[in-house]
Amino acid sequence: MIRYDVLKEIIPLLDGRLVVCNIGSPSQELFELHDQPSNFYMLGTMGLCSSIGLGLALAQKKDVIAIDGDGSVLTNLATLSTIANNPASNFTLLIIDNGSYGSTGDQPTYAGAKTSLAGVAKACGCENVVEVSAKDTAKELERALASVRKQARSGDFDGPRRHCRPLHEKCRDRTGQLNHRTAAGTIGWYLTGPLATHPLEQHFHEWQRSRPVFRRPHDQSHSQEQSWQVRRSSFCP
Amino acid sequence: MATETDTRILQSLISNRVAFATSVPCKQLAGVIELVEDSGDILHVPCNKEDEGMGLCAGAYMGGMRPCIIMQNTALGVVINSLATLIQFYHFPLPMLISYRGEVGEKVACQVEMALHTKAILSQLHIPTYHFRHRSDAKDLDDILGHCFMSNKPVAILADAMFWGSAS
Repeated sequence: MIRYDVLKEIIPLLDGRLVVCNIGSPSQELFELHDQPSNFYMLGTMGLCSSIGLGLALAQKKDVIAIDGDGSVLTNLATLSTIANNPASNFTLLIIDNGSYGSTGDQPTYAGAKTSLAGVAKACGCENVVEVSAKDTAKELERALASVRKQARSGDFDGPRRHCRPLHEKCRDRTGQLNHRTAAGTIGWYLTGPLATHPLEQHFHEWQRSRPVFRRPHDQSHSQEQSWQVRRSSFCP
Repeated sequence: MATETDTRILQSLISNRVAFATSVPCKQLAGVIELVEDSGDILHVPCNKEDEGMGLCAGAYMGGMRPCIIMQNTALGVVINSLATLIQFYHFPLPMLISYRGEVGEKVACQVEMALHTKAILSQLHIPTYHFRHRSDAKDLDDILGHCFMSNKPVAILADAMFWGSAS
């Protein structure tokens, strides 16, 4: 399996959830597979996907899934310690580890060699670290999310400063089959639905409306495929 | 030990509905960080590096909390990309309470080097910048925070050694 296949399999689990997606190809692929208002597509600041996801999870109660990559996590390893020490039981960090900087020409990462990100996460204090093969990702992610829901039912889930429940999953694909998909997505992110009950909702909506660059491709007169092509030049990994 | 100035800063943060703060320590900021940590109104999540902190703040803002980062001016060298491609590109408001090391009153010579570049970097990034020299300057913080959240921009508050009362 390649990353695209992993994303394809987990799409049903992402539906309706807050998703923070890593810079470059993963965001392009997620957009193509399942664009939704609650997706945040990173366009810069490699490495901060996990941190943004943690901040989002700490600030509100809905489930947050951050889809990160091995190369990006390596640039911001210390955030694993922040995740471990600032527990957000609604936060799931999914690190898709293909041992490669996939968006820049498939240069190898150290995570594909001696370094174990799962080991680092455990050493940082993350309590629920699960390392799975690519083909088992969807099943394990579903289990992880069910664990989050179970905590919510048990009353363990009551907003910021909750019990530690960081979840880290790792999908390893060392087959050498690397992703060269080039379908470019437009940029856009929308959180109106999930934030509908928050006191700052109005402020948020105003902020969102002030961003003309964030348009849904479906609003255009072009077909979706044409929209991608139109925007390809503005969406460079 | 928190001072009256530290308390005033905390009150401004709270009255402007700042609900999330991240920080990297500085001895001049120790009092404010202590108050923020103990405050029941602000969720304080210390970060390891300031660019990580900006990621946390971006996420917190999307989750509905007004954020703030507490850092040293030396960290500006670390966060330029995060400021440009995350905070500015997505139009997140972000007050940066910055201890302005290397200004008059500084005791560590090396700090002066980054102080020489601080305002130039902020100017180059078109970040509204306010320099607090005297304790009374803290009275402007309310308006500065309001301006920050009105404009959805990062804003830098440079508070130097004289402001913190440690110039001696």
